[in-house]
Amino acid sequence: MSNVRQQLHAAKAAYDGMKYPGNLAAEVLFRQKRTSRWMVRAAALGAIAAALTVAAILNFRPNHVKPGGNGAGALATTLKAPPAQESAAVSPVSLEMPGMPQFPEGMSMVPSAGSFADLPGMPLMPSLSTIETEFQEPSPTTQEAL
Amino acid sequence: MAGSGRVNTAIIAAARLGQKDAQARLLNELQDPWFRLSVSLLGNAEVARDAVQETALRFLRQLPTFAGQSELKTWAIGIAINVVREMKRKRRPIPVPQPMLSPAADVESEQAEERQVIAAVLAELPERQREAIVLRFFQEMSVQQTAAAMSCAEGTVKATVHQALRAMRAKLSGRRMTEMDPRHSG
Repeated sequence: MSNVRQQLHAAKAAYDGMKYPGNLAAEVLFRQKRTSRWMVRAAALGAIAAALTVAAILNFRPNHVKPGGNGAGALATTLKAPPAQESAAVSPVSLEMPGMPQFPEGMSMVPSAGSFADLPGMPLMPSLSTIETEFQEPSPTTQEAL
Repeated sequence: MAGSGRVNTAIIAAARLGQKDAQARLLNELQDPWFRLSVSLLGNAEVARDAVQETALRFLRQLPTFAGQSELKTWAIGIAINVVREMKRKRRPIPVPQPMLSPAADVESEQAEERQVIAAVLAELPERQREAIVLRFFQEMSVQQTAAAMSCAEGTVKATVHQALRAMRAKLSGRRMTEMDPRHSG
């Protein structure tokens, strides 16, 4: 047996002396149990929250529908929890949209040809000479300042 | 284990069916071999403890798929090796390997010093070579069992052990030369 093998066999005694510091079964199995409990609790809380949400949605029913005046198409819906005594008198909700407003009579889509003659003329553009004279004449304000 | 007769096939079957008592008994049998292996390969007791716990969880998860083609202990050691490999890949830099001796060991004796030298030389080996040496010499597994645990061929195990012993011999002789003449240290 070579020297290395002898040394390895000698080191095996120290290797065999090592022990796991704790109780693995308790640590691992407890951890699994704790994890599964946590999952069950989370699932239960989720189910309760879902049930409450569904119950809230089912309890809130539209009470009545008011058309928004002038046929503008506004659909006013009041969401209110009905009192117990009024629950029998709830009218059915109508979701029909009002019809399109009619186009006013006597109005044409195209303007008449005569109306073009009444257009005002283009404004006059000042000439360059007029502008130059305006700049050459000192303004009274400048003279006073000098 | 199945081979040693301490854990019979009935306990393995019960553990596979999810019986906690049987699973606890298997874990009690495996916790020390797993810990020794993990400390030897990872070089750190705290990290090794994490590795053992992860190994145990994976062992329990995979237990229903255990086909019985190898001994349960060999199969379980294979799981531990995979966990250690994954931890080494994820946790970089690897903590400096400490001697795998407990502080309570006979520190002042010459034998303890030799063991520490062996531990240090072992820590310098490549990963596969270290695995092969630990399984063959410390876990006292056969070539066939080592191959099954390392998921490789028996010939590979033999060659790896041979290379590892040669490398260890060279490192040990280099250390002796350094001790005799410090100028060799480089």
